[in-house]
Amino acid sequence: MSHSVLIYANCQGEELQKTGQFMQCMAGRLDFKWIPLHLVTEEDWAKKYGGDFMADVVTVWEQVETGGVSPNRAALHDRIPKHVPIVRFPPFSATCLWPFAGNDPRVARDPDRYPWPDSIAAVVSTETLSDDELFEKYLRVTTERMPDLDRRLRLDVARWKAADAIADVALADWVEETFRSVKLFYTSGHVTATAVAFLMKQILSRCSILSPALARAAIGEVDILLRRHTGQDFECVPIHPMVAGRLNLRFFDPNATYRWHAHDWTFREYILHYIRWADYLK
Amino acid sequence: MDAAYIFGTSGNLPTALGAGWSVEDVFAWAIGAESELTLPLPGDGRAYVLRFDIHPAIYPPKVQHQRLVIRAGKTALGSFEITTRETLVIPLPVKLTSGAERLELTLIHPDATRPRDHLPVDDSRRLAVCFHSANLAQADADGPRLSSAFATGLEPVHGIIAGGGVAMRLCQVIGKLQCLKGRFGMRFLDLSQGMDKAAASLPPETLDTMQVCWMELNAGTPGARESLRFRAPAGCSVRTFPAPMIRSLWPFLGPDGRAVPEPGRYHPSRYPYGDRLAQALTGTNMPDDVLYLMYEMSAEQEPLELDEMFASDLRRWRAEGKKPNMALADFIERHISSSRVFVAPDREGPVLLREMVEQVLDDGLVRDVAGPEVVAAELDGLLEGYIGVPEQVPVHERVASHFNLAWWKPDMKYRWANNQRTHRDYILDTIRWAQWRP
Repeated sequence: MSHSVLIYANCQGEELQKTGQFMQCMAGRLDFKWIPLHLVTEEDWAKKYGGDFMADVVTVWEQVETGGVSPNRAALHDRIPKHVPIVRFPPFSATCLWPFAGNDPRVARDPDRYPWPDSIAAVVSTETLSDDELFEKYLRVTTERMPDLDRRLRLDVARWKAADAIADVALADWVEETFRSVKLFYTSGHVTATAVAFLMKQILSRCSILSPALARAAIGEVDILLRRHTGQDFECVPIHPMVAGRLNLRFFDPNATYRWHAHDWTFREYILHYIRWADYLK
Repeated sequence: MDAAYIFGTSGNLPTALGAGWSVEDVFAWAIGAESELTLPLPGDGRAYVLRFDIHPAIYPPKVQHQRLVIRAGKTALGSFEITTRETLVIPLPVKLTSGAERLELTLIHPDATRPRDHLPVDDSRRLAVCFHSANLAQADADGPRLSSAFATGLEPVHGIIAGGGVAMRLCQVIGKLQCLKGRFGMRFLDLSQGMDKAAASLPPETLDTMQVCWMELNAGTPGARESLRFRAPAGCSVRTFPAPMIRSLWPFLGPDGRAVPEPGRYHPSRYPYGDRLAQALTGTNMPDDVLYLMYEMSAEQEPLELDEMFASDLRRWRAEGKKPNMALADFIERHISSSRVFVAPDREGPVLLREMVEQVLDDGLVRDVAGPEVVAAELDGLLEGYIGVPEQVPVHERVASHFNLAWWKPDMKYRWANNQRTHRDYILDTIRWAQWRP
């Protein structure tokens, strides 16, 4: 009979699953399954994730959420047999890097085109201006309305620590120490391979069903598999230069291009495409 | 038009709010019994849909909902009972918006209530509904221009591009050009599938009514291509195009015995293009620096006739170009140094894809719909920063130097799925046949 690791998490769980599935040391020993906590429906619990699905689960890697237990999480807990060990880990998230994330009504109408709303870009989107004028206005308004980023960071750190407190794996200190020198986030919830690798290794080292030798081999394979990997970079939201300055992001390159599906755009190009809600290639 | 309106002092509706509002930083409360709102309209004849992102002032159990009636003069646009944050969707009658430059709305909200009557707060405003944002967008990008044929999902002038990946990408680009929307359409037909299965993904009657059919040479089976020719209706112009391949930019390519499918992991193989110099170093147990140096020495000593290889590529493209209706050889020859024409031996780069799109659209059927300058301007925007497919094979310095490749840099990274490698990374990984994660 096969054995499976069940990962219950947002899209970061898919990164763990794919990394696990490509580990040669796990081939024939452990399969990796993922239930996307942000997408799962009542019907999924009834049809896809019943007894057959759970039968070969030997451990669960559960991404925690602060706040109450959601109905989906309760449904998960109902299905996990008592003897199955659980490794709880926090989600990666960062809101301080994109302080203008906010209301843009176009996202509700057309949620797939630019799913990471920018409220200032939305405000200036009704102006009839040239590209140069529009970008200049965006920069001026964002400069005027730049919030207290130290406070935003403190709020993020507080959230990270709160999630750590209910998990078996801690991320807050590492993220706080690392995020200025190494790029960890592409969006507020999408992460680089550096972050995926750190989390995967932390979980593997706490996964009690693995022998110490297998855990060591797996941790070694994480580095090999992800050394050229870019992580969840299919949608990279550029960081505002002023945010990079205020938060002292040492990895920041003002001339960098950012992947947006099949395109590489500068900060300016991204902002103009976003403001104009322009189509692109996937 | 796709306008985003944000309520609040930091928003973009400073003059739109009349009586009956209490404006805060990032939203505005409709207060009292009625509120007035004036939104700009483009003054054209198209149909529009208005959306409001709102939430009600509710204080259960006493106030469980807010009623909201939206009127434009005597026209009732909608009546809602709001219990939670939601987006109201309000189709605007064309007779209301046609030629109009503004839309004057009256919002009637009879259930406004004072927070201080329900909570220990000093807020005596009579709050009804909180408005966060509004969106005014065309109901259908090309509604008034549609012909009856569009009822079947087909444009008045339509066709297919049949083939593999190149055909698919050509259709993707053409399908995103707003100037052609609703009037000219090209759909992808996957020739790697059987005709029946491939045709099932098209709107009904596509093959029976298409006016133009482009076929990628050598894609799919000869039987599938012949079957498609047979299916083309009388009057349909059947044209062919090559998916060009280049050998001269990657002269060290060669089959690698290790390149086999690994089910569930790598298909067609871990490193599908292979590199004969790298393969020759397989099993050499040396540190990275030494191993790469050994590869570079092999590459230096390799006799290469790059001009002859390129001439051979050109001859092949010209031979391919005699029969088909798309000639690419001259374009490639003109741009090979200045632009990234290919990202892999059989993967077109951004400029070549654009050239192919322009040749498909260089057609009287298209010129009747949109002028070349309009199409070109849209392509400029759509393809800005486009990098091509994420299957890029690194180019060796000797080749880059010989062809004076303007886009090439020694430390540049090449994307393969979700990985990025320099030439050095790629060669070392190929020699070691290193596993990687897609």
